[in-house]
Amino acid sequence: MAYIIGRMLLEIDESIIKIIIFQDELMQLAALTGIDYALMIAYLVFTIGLGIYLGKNIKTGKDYFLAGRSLPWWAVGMSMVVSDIGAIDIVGIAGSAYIYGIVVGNYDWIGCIPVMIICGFVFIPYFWRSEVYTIPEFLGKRFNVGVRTIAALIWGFFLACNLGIMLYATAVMMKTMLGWGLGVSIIVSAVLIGLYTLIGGLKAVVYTDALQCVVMMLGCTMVLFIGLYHAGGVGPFVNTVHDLGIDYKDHFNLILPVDTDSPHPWTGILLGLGMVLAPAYWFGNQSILQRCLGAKSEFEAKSAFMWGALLKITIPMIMVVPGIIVLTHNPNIKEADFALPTLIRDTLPTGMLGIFFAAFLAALMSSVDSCLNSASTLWVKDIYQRFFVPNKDDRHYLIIGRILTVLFTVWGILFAFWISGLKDQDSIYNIIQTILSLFQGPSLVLILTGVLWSRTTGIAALVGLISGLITSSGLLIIHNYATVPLFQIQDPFLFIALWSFLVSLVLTIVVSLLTPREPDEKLVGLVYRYKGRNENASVN
Amino acid sequence: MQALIDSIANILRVPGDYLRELTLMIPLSGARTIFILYFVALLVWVLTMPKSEVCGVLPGKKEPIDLRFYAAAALIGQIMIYSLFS
Repeated sequence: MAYIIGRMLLEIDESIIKIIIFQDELMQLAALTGIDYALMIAYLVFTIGLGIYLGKNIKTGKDYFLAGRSLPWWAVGMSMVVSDIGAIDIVGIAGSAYIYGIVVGNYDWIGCIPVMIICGFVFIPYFWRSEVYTIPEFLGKRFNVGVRTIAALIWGFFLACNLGIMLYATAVMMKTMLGWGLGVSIIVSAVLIGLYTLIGGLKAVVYTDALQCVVMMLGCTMVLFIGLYHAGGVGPFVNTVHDLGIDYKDHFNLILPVDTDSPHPWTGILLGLGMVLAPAYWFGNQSILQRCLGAKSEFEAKSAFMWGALLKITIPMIMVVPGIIVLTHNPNIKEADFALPTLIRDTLPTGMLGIFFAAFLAALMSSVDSCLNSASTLWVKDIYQRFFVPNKDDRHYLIIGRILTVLFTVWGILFAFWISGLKDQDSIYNIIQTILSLFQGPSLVLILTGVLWSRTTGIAALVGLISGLITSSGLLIIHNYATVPLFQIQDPFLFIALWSFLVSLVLTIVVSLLTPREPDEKLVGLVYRYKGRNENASVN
Repeated sequence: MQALIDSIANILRVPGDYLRELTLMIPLSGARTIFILYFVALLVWVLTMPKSEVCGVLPGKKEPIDLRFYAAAALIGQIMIYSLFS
């Protein structure tokens, strides 16, 4: 579920749509041979076999949803990184880098590394210690059931719809690579991914993700080095891009001016992405955080974040730079998302193409399985158990979790078929992404004020959440329908998130100060370094 | 309805344009400094965290691990990258 915020809003929505629209052209680019097919199929069989094998000891809901809290730091860290990067991103990032240059790397660097470190040291200890299954459940403990339910419904709706979209994108790529019909591709990809997620739960998702992370990084690193070799090395590569003319002068610049033509001015990157969207994603995304909640210990959960942050440093190098390298190979590609496929087609030898496509499948599968598992967890814990059947034994929730995994797989298949029949396929994707983007600013306020400020009250959180949603929706409506657009850039999501965050934050603080504080027993263990009111002066 | 939306947009545009003008006055070298300072501030925060919150022993290891080292390595990597590509 990479780029749910930030990158996804700016880049990937277009990439998914373009991959869907240009699937026939992509198919021509992917000239796979028998060895390539053999590698891909071997990889698929191994991944699914591993997932099924890992599911043999699942006895309870805790085993299924949180892997029995047994996950090691290295697997959790790799799973987080690969779940954050979908296959669509591999194409989309390279395509954006082809147009805008290394500035796209901001989404993995300033958009991930600082917030992963902060999350690991500040937020994860409280999430892990509270023994929750979901982030809305944590918000419910800290605030009230209203906040929990709104957060759960928004995430639950998003995850369910996103599942169908990712499944559809996966099927399109399988059709492209293997030449199957779209219907067969949708059903086969759903059944394969659904099968190991159903049997193995979070444990299967995380360990297969770790394998997928290795394959994905290997495939992308291979493309980087072969691309650099064909460009004549690092020096000639940089010189060739600079020699292309004035339009390419900023291609090696991470910080672009406020009035840049690209959608990545430094103010949006620093304030919108770095201060709001990225923290909202890393501090509150159920798909990402669920694997940390399943870590063996609090220290392993923290370690996973540090390990993930170190891995993240390499991601722009192996995914963004190849997009720029394509400029040295062919600076006249009309459709930017063909940049990477063109490089792959023209430079990778037989066999290596199979490894790259295995990496591509790895990224696809890791996003779909995470989405499926998180959707099931969230609906079981925050809706089914909270409102309908609260007091059954843990085995009951395991059964319900598995039933829901099957239902979500079927739902994903139907949703994917529905999308495939739409004439305007991008609209549904854009609507879903827009709804989630509206939630990011207020969602961050909930997490920040909830964990960092003991004075935040449940009523204030609810007011902040609703006012933030109204602000972001209002700004989007005004921007889209005013005679002169409100914001001066085409995709103002970074700024809408920033303003909704600020409005939500101010109202949360004001209402908190006007309402009675929460009792100590509700705060201890959930608020950063809070040990009760008597010790409040010295520790908070 | 259109008139109402345009009126609200016009009102909101005033502070928005003002802030945009303010940020336009910051030279690109200033922006670079802000980015680097952000990472440096985080690095200082990480290095000054209490040992109890950053040290622990992983299964199979005898010696405790200090996570500050890894966090600092990631942040120093960021400082180098943003110094190089800006």
